[in-house]
Amino acid sequence: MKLSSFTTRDWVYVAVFGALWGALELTLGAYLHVLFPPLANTFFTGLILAGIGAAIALVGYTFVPRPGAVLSIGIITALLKVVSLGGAKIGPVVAILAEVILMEVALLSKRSPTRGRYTLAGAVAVSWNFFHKFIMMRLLYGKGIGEVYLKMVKEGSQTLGLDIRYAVAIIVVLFLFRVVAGAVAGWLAWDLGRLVARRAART
Amino acid sequence: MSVQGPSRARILSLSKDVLCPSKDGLHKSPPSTGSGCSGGYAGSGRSGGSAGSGYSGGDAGRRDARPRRQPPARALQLNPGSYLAFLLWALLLVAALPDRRLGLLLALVAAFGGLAGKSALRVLASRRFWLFILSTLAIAPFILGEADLRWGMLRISRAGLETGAWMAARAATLMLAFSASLGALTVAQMMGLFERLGLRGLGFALGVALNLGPVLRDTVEAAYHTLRLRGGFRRPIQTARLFLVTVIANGVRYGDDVVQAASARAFDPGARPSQGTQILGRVDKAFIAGLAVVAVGLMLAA
Repeated sequence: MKLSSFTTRDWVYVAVFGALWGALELTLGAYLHVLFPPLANTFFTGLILAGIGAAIALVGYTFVPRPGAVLSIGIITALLKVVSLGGAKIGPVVAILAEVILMEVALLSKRSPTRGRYTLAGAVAVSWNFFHKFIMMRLLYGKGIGEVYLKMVKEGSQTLGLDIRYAVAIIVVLFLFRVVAGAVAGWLAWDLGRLVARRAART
Repeated sequence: MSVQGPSRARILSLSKDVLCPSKDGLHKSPPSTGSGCSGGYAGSGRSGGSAGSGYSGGDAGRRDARPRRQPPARALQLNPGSYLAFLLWALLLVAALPDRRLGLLLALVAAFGGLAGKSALRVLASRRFWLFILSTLAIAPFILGEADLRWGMLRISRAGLETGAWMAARAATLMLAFSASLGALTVAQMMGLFERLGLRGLGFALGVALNLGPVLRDTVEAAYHTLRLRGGFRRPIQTARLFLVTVIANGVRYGDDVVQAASARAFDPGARPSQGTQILGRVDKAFIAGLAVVAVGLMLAA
């Protein structure tokens, strides 16, 4: 990853996609946090924001197909979140940075990008949403993995309508749900990137 | 269906806003009237802006005419490296210290926030911060710990209240530390930090992204109203796709104009960093050594 080899155009595109993701986090994020308050189940908020954010970052990668581009987009988004009027919040910043690092790892290859790698990148990025809760609960509340696991099983049992005895199945379904949502975001980002490139070239 | 973005004149004005240097994050004159400049940044500071987008600045034209907010007065004059070291220090101690030492850590973090300037403790004025802390305290006795009292469905636990208090203290410490470190840095300081780290392009990208807020808002509004007036909501999926493509394509087109403006001013993202911005000075090194001593003291006393 050599960020010093980026051209001015690359950095400007990084800024554009970072700003788009940042605007989404600040507007839709605030709206979703009102709909789903912080202490309620954050399943949908995280999933929606991570899915759309990953798609925007991957469309950005279509325009700057270089190692480090997605990471830079994420850093810009995180900094916009830090300097926004809402003030610095650790949870979303950690989530954004973790997602872009995972996407960057999934996109690492000397071959040209493919739809499969976009799908993989989207899947791993959104799957962070599952582990995010464990890490943030440990960091913010000092809670252990066991307690978070129990809370997640209880919430999952209510959301999915499954009996709490099927704890492992609930956890697997919750994780797979995130993986599938991320994969769909990556799949759509591949098409969206090409559509935007065609539209931008035409006008 | 074609949806137009912001005007070109405005884009070029904003591009110059990003490219013209202003090391303290303040504009001495309206950017559109100054002479050309080669590289550097204009920190847009933390001036108030539209509540909807959360970005600084509302309408770009009006915003440029407004005086920028002065950087906050601070009792503690530290460079960005110290703030980053403080954040790492606080993260490490929040994770490592036992519950009974958290009060002391919270007091230390709040004291640092007070010395770092009023904006560092801005989080304390946030309703969401207090909602978060107080709801943790309020809910904990009913859901955590062994129940001491039961009234039908309702249960109250003293142990749960104690656990909730520690949880709230941990969360408050972390939020304050984050606000007092990264939240206390101005955009110009962040860009200077990137420049010193050899990532001048990333600082430039941050400047462009901050100025993109109003442009994106205009683009989104124009696209939304065009699609609505053409009856786009009758086919929501197609409309959503068209909306996304329009907004992103207009953003990319804006980016192309910024690239032209940057090239015209011979901006080079790979240029050597200027000597103006310092990350760590002697005071910062002493401050970090002090943090290390306090951390060791807290750990040993635990």
